[in-house]
Amino acid sequence: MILPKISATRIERGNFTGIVESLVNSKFTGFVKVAFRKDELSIAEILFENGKAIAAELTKIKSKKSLGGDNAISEIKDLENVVVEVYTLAPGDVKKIFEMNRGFEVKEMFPLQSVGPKTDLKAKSEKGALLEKYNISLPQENEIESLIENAIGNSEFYVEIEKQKILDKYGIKKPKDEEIEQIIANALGEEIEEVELEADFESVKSEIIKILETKLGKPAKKQ
Amino acid sequence: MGMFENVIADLLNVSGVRGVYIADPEGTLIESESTIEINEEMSAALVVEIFNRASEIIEKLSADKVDIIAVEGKKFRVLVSRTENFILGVVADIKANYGLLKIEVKKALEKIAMMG
Repeated sequence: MILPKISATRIERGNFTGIVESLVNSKFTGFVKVAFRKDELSIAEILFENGKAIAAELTKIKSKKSLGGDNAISEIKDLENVVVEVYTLAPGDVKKIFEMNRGFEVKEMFPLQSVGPKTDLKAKSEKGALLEKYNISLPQENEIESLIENAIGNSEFYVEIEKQKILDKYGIKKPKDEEIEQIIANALGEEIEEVELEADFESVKSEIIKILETKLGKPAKKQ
Repeated sequence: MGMFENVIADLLNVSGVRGVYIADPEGTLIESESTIEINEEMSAALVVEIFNRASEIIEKLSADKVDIIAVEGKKFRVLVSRTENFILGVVADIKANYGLLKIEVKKALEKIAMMG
Protein backbone atom coordinates (compact mmCIF):
# COMPACT_ATOMS: atom_id res chain seq x y z
CA MET A 1 0.00 0.00 0.00
CA ILE A 2 1.05 3.60 -0.40
CA LEU A 3 1.43 4.94 3.13
CA PRO A 4 3.07 8.09 4.52
CA LYS A 5 6.63 7.75 5.86
CA ILE A 6 5.98 8.87 9.42
CA SER A 7 7.34 7.76 12.77
CA ALA A 8 5.45 5.13 14.73
CA THR A 9 3.18 6.51 17.46
CA ARG A 10 3.82 3.44 19.58
CA ILE A 11 4.88 -0.19 19.37
CA GLU A 12 2.79 -2.97 20.88
CA ARG A 13 3.58 -6.64 21.48
CA GLY A 14 1.23 -9.59 21.84
CA ASN A 15 -1.66 -11.38 20.20
CA PHE A 16 -2.48 -9.59 16.94
CA THR A 17 -6.26 -9.91 17.17
CA GLY A 18 -6.16 -8.64 20.77
CA ILE A 19 -4.16 -5.57 19.73
CA VAL A 20 -6.52 -4.90 16.82
CA GLU A 21 -9.57 -5.30 19.09
CA SER A 22 -8.19 -2.61 21.39
CA LEU A 23 -7.70 -0.35 18.35
CA VAL A 24 -11.26 -1.04 17.20
CA ASN A 25 -12.64 -0.25 20.68
CA SER A 26 -10.69 3.01 20.83
CA LYS A 27 -12.06 4.02 17.37
CA PHE A 28 -8.48 4.21 16.06
CA THR A 29 -7.71 6.12 12.87
CA GLY A 30 -4.39 5.40 11.21
CA PHE A 31 -2.50 2.31 10.13
CA VAL A 32 -0.62 -0.58 11.69
CA LYS A 33 2.34 -2.60 10.45
CA VAL A 34 3.10 -6.14 11.53
CA ALA A 35 5.91 -8.40 10.33
CA PHE A 36 6.04 -12.14 10.88
CA ARG A 37 7.60 -15.34 9.59
CA LYS A 38 5.17 -18.01 8.36
CA ASP A 39 6.54 -19.63 5.24
CA GLU A 40 8.76 -16.59 4.73
CA LEU A 41 9.27 -13.13 6.20
CA SER A 42 6.18 -11.05 5.42
CA ILE A 43 4.93 -7.62 6.35
CA ALA A 44 1.28 -6.60 6.60
CA GLU A 45 -0.20 -3.12 6.68
CA ILE A 46 -3.78 -2.35 7.70
CA LEU A 47 -5.48 1.01 7.35
CA PHE A 48 -8.14 1.88 9.94
CA GLU A 49 -10.78 4.55 9.91
CA ASN A 50 -12.67 5.21 13.11
CA GLY A 51 -11.94 1.70 14.40
CA LYS A 52 -12.81 -0.10 11.16
CA ALA A 53 -10.25 -1.87 8.94
CA ILE A 54 -10.78 -0.38 5.47
CA ALA A 55 -7.69 -1.52 3.53
CA ALA A 56 -4.95 -4.10 3.96
CA GLU A 57 -1.95 -5.53 2.15
CA LEU A 58 0.41 -8.38 2.89
CA THR A 59 3.80 -8.47 1.16
CA LYS A 60 6.05 -11.52 1.16
CA ILE A 61 9.55 -10.11 1.24
CA LYS A 62 11.60 -12.70 -0.65
CA SER A 63 9.07 -13.88 -3.23
CA LYS A 64 7.69 -10.32 -3.62
CA LYS A 65 4.14 -11.73 -3.62
CA SER A 66 1.36 -9.46 -2.48
CA LEU A 67 -2.12 -10.16 -1.10
CA GLY A 68 -4.71 -7.44 -0.75
CA GLY A 69 -7.92 -6.82 1.19
CA ASP A 70 -9.68 -9.80 2.80
CA ASN A 71 -7.02 -12.27 1.58
CA ALA A 72 -4.38 -10.33 3.50
CA ILE A 73 -6.59 -10.23 6.61
CA SER A 74 -7.19 -14.00 6.54
CA GLU A 75 -3.39 -14.56 6.55
CA ILE A 76 -2.73 -12.41 9.60
CA LYS A 77 -5.78 -12.73 11.83
CA ASP A 78 -4.40 -15.71 13.78
CA LEU A 79 -0.95 -14.28 14.53
CA GLU A 80 0.31 -14.55 18.07
CA ASN A 81 3.25 -12.87 19.81
CA VAL A 82 3.92 -10.21 17.24
CA VAL A 83 5.31 -6.69 17.30
CA VAL A 84 2.78 -4.20 15.93
CA GLU A 85 3.78 -0.69 14.93
CA VAL A 86 0.93 1.78 15.35
CA TYR A 87 0.83 4.97 13.26
CA THR A 88 -1.86 7.55 14.01
CA LEU A 89 -3.32 9.70 11.22
CA ALA A 90 -5.77 12.58 10.98
CA PRO A 91 -9.24 11.54 9.64
CA GLY A 92 -8.80 13.67 6.50
CA ASP A 93 -5.49 11.97 5.70
CA VAL A 94 -7.04 8.48 5.93
CA LYS A 95 -9.58 9.31 3.21
CA LYS A 96 -6.80 10.43 0.86
CA ILE A 97 -4.69 7.36 1.65
CA PHE A 98 -7.68 5.09 1.10
CA GLU A 99 -8.24 6.65 -2.33
CA MET A 100 -4.60 5.86 -3.21
CA ASN A 101 -5.04 2.22 -2.15
CA ARG A 102 -8.34 1.36 -3.86
CA GLY A 103 -7.27 -2.18 -4.76
CA PHE A 104 -6.77 -3.22 -1.15
CA GLU A 105 -10.25 -2.65 0.33
CA VAL A 106 -11.32 -4.85 3.24
CA LYS A 107 -14.92 -5.98 2.87
CA GLU A 108 -15.18 -8.45 5.75
CA MET A 109 -15.56 -7.27 9.32
CA PHE A 110 -12.23 -7.39 11.15
CA PRO A 111 -11.45 -8.62 13.78
CA LEU A 112 -13.62 -11.70 13.47
CA GLN A 113 -13.29 -15.37 14.45
CA SER A 114 -12.99 -16.72 10.92
CA VAL A 115 -14.76 -16.51 7.59
CA GLY A 116 -16.64 -19.83 8.05
CA PRO A 117 -18.45 -19.23 11.35
CA LYS A 118 -19.38 -15.74 10.25
CA THR A 119 -21.07 -17.11 7.13
CA ASP A 120 -22.86 -19.71 9.28
CA LEU A 121 -24.01 -17.02 11.66
CA LYS A 122 -25.33 -14.97 8.76
CA ALA A 123 -27.18 -18.01 7.34
CA LYS A 124 -28.57 -18.83 10.79
CA SER A 125 -29.83 -15.30 11.33
CA GLU A 126 -31.51 -15.32 7.88
CA LYS A 127 -33.15 -18.68 8.68
CA GLY A 128 -34.35 -17.34 12.03
CA ALA A 129 -35.81 -14.25 10.38
CA LEU A 130 -37.72 -16.39 7.85
CA LEU A 131 -39.09 -18.72 10.58
CA GLU A 132 -40.24 -15.71 12.56
CA LYS A 133 -41.75 -14.04 9.49
CA TYR A 134 -43.91 -17.08 8.61
CA ASN A 135 -44.53 -18.00 12.26
CA ILE A 136 -42.99 -21.47 11.91
CA SER A 137 -41.76 -23.41 14.91
CA LEU A 138 -39.09 -26.07 14.30
CA PRO A 139 -40.37 -29.69 14.82
CA GLN A 140 -38.79 -32.07 17.35
CA GLU A 141 -36.72 -35.10 16.25
CA ASN A 142 -39.54 -37.65 16.85
CA GLU A 143 -42.02 -35.37 15.07
CA ILE A 144 -39.79 -35.37 12.00
CA GLU A 145 -39.75 -39.21 11.96
CA SER A 146 -43.54 -39.49 12.23
CA LEU A 147 -43.92 -36.86 9.49
CA ILE A 148 -41.73 -38.94 7.16
CA GLU A 149 -43.64 -42.15 8.03
CA ASN A 150 -46.99 -40.49 7.32
CA ALA A 151 -45.76 -39.12 4.02
CA ILE A 152 -44.14 -42.25 2.54
CA GLY A 153 -45.17 -45.00 4.99
CA ASN A 154 -47.07 -47.10 2.41
CA SER A 155 -44.55 -46.81 -0.41
CA GLU A 156 -42.23 -49.62 -1.56
CA PHE A 157 -39.33 -47.30 -0.92
CA TYR A 158 -40.24 -46.97 2.76
CA VAL A 159 -40.73 -50.77 3.09
CA GLU A 160 -37.32 -51.30 1.52
CA ILE A 161 -35.73 -48.82 3.97
CA GLU A 162 -37.38 -50.58 6.93
CA LYS A 163 -36.23 -53.99 5.63
CA GLN A 164 -32.68 -52.68 5.30
CA LYS A 165 -32.83 -51.29 8.85
CA ILE A 166 -33.83 -54.74 10.22
CA LEU A 167 -31.08 -56.47 8.21
CA ASP A 168 -28.53 -53.95 9.49
CA LYS A 169 -29.76 -54.34 13.06
CA TYR A 170 -29.18 -58.12 13.09
CA GLY A 171 -26.10 -57.99 10.89
CA ILE A 172 -27.72 -59.96 8.08
CA LYS A 173 -26.32 -59.70 4.61
CA LYS A 174 -28.89 -59.60 1.82
CA PRO A 175 -28.39 -62.68 -0.45
CA LYS A 176 -27.86 -62.37 -4.19
CA ASP A 177 -30.36 -63.83 -6.70
CA GLU A 178 -28.01 -66.74 -7.58
CA GLU A 179 -27.59 -67.56 -3.90
CA ILE A 180 -31.41 -67.62 -3.46
CA GLU A 181 -31.78 -70.03 -6.41
CA GLN A 182 -29.06 -72.27 -4.98
CA ILE A 183 -30.76 -72.29 -1.58
CA ILE A 184 -34.11 -73.27 -3.18
CA ALA A 185 -32.47 -76.00 -5.28
CA ASN A 186 -30.71 -77.40 -2.22
CA ALA A 187 -33.98 -77.37 -0.28
CA LEU A 188 -35.87 -79.22 -3.02
CA GLY A 189 -33.01 -81.64 -3.71
CA GLU A 190 -33.02 -80.81 -7.45
CA GLU A 191 -30.50 -79.41 -9.79
CA ILE A 192 -31.55 -76.65 -12.04
CA GLU A 193 -31.13 -77.97 -15.57
CA GLU A 194 -30.60 -75.97 -18.61
CA VAL A 195 -33.08 -76.98 -21.28
CA GLU A 196 -31.61 -77.17 -24.74
CA LEU A 197 -33.93 -76.30 -27.59
CA GLU A 198 -33.66 -78.55 -30.62
CA ALA A 199 -34.51 -76.74 -33.81
CA ASP A 200 -35.28 -78.48 -37.14
CA PHE A 201 -33.32 -76.15 -39.40
CA GLU A 202 -34.07 -78.10 -42.60
CA SER A 203 -37.85 -77.67 -42.26
CA VAL A 204 -37.39 -73.95 -41.41
CA LYS A 205 -35.21 -73.55 -44.52
CA SER A 206 -37.77 -75.25 -46.83
CA GLU A 207 -40.55 -73.08 -45.31
CA ILE A 208 -38.60 -69.88 -46.10
CA ILE A 209 -37.92 -71.03 -49.68
CA LYS A 210 -41.64 -71.79 -50.21
CA ILE A 211 -42.63 -68.32 -48.99
CA LEU A 212 -40.06 -66.67 -51.28
CA GLU A 213 -41.26 -68.70 -54.30
CA THR A 214 -44.90 -67.68 -53.75
CA LYS A 215 -43.93 -63.99 -53.39
CA LEU A 216 -41.08 -63.66 -55.92
CA GLY A 217 -41.35 -66.66 -58.24
CA LYS A 218 -38.75 -69.36 -58.81
CA PRO A 219 -35.13 -68.12 -58.69
CA ALA A 220 -33.09 -68.34 -61.91
CA LYS A 221 -30.41 -71.04 -61.97
CA LYS A 222 -26.81 -69.93 -62.35
CA GLN A 223 -25.10 -70.83 -65.69
CA MET B 1 8.79 -14.92 17.42
CA GLY B 2 11.42 -12.42 16.32
CA MET B 3 11.79 -9.11 18.05
CA PHE B 4 12.95 -7.11 15.04
CA GLU B 5 10.98 -8.64 12.17
CA ASN B 6 9.32 -5.29 11.45
CA VAL B 7 12.69 -3.54 11.19
CA ILE B 8 14.18 -6.24 8.98
CA ALA B 9 11.10 -6.46 6.72
CA ASP B 10 11.01 -2.66 6.27
CA LEU B 11 14.69 -2.55 5.29
CA LEU B 12 14.45 -5.53 2.95
CA ASN B 13 11.51 -3.79 1.26
CA VAL B 14 13.87 -0.99 0.17
CA SER B 15 14.89 -1.58 -3.43
CA GLY B 16 18.36 -3.15 -3.69
CA VAL B 17 18.72 -4.30 -0.07
CA ARG B 18 20.07 -7.87 0.04
CA GLY B 19 20.68 -8.56 3.71
CA VAL B 20 19.97 -7.13 7.16
CA TYR B 21 21.87 -8.23 10.27
CA ILE B 22 21.23 -7.23 13.86
CA ALA B 23 23.89 -8.24 16.37
CA ASP B 24 24.98 -7.40 19.89
CA PRO B 25 28.22 -5.36 20.42
CA GLU B 26 30.17 -8.64 20.86
CA GLY B 27 29.23 -9.79 17.37
CA THR B 28 26.62 -12.38 18.24
CA LEU B 29 23.79 -12.56 15.70
CA ILE B 30 20.40 -11.65 17.14
CA GLU B 31 18.24 -11.59 14.05
CA SER B 32 18.80 -11.46 10.31
CA GLU B 33 17.36 -12.09 6.88
CA SER B 34 19.02 -12.05 3.50
CA THR B 35 18.11 -12.71 -0.09
CA ILE B 36 21.67 -13.79 -0.97
CA GLU B 37 23.46 -17.04 -0.07
CA ILE B 38 25.60 -16.04 2.89
CA ASN B 39 26.59 -17.27 6.33
CA GLU B 40 24.45 -14.95 8.45
CA GLU B 41 26.30 -15.55 11.74
CA MET B 42 29.61 -14.73 10.12
CA SER B 43 28.10 -11.67 8.41
CA ALA B 44 26.83 -10.36 11.74
CA ALA B 45 30.27 -10.84 13.31
CA LEU B 46 31.96 -9.04 10.40
CA VAL B 47 29.49 -6.15 10.56
CA VAL B 48 30.37 -5.66 14.25
CA GLU B 49 34.06 -5.92 13.39
CA ILE B 50 33.67 -3.13 10.79
CA PHE B 51 31.94 -0.99 13.40
CA ASN B 52 34.53 -1.55 16.12
CA ARG B 53 37.52 -0.94 13.82
CA ALA B 54 35.96 2.22 12.35
CA SER B 55 35.15 3.47 15.84
CA GLU B 56 38.81 3.05 16.87
CA ILE B 57 40.03 4.84 13.74
CA ILE B 58 37.68 7.81 13.97
CA GLU B 59 38.48 8.14 17.68
CA LYS B 60 42.24 8.30 16.95
CA LEU B 61 41.88 10.50 13.86
CA SER B 62 39.43 13.08 15.10
CA ALA B 63 38.30 12.16 18.62
CA ASP B 64 34.82 11.67 17.18
CA LYS B 65 32.23 8.93 17.35
CA VAL B 66 30.82 6.84 14.52
CA ASP B 67 27.33 7.71 13.33
CA ILE B 68 27.07 5.58 10.24
CA ILE B 69 29.73 3.63 8.29
CA ALA B 70 29.49 2.96 4.58
CA VAL B 71 31.87 0.52 2.89
CA GLU B 72 31.63 0.36 -0.89
CA GLY B 73 32.67 -2.58 -2.98
CA LYS B 74 32.32 -3.00 -6.75
CA LYS B 75 28.95 -4.72 -6.45
CA PHE B 76 27.70 -4.09 -2.94
CA ARG B 77 27.62 -1.39 -0.30
CA VAL B 78 27.62 -2.17 3.41
CA LEU B 79 26.08 0.25 5.91
CA VAL B 80 26.68 -0.18 9.62
CA SER B 81 25.34 1.78 12.56
CA ARG B 82 24.59 1.34 16.25
CA THR B 83 21.96 2.03 18.88
CA GLU B 84 22.69 1.48 22.56
CA ASN B 85 22.69 -2.31 22.66
CA PHE B 86 22.52 -3.36 19.03
CA ILE B 87 24.56 -3.04 15.86
CA LEU B 88 22.72 -2.96 12.57
CA GLY B 89 24.32 -3.96 9.27
CA VAL B 90 22.73 -3.64 5.85
CA VAL B 91 24.11 -5.08 2.62
CA ALA B 92 22.72 -3.49 -0.55
CA ASP B 93 23.44 -3.38 -4.28
CA ILE B 94 25.86 -0.60 -5.19
CA LYS B 95 23.10 0.89 -7.39
CA ALA B 96 20.64 1.14 -4.50
CA ASN B 97 19.69 4.71 -3.54
CA TYR B 98 22.29 5.67 -0.90
CA GLY B 99 20.33 8.63 0.51
CA LEU B 100 17.18 6.57 0.93
CA LEU B 101 19.20 3.77 2.52
CA LYS B 102 20.65 6.16 5.11
CA ILE B 103 17.16 7.44 5.99
CA GLU B 104 15.83 3.88 6.32
CA VAL B 105 18.79 2.82 8.48
CA LYS B 106 18.19 5.80 10.81
CA LYS B 107 14.49 4.95 11.04
CA ALA B 108 15.34 1.33 11.75
CA LEU B 109 17.69 2.40 14.57
CA GLU B 110 14.92 4.51 16.10
CA LYS B 111 12.57 1.53 16.04
CA ILE B 112 15.22 -0.78 17.52
CA ALA B 113 15.77 1.77 20.30
CA MET B 114 12.00 1.83 20.98
CA MET B 115 11.87 -1.96 21.18
CA GLY B 116 15.16 -2.68 22.89
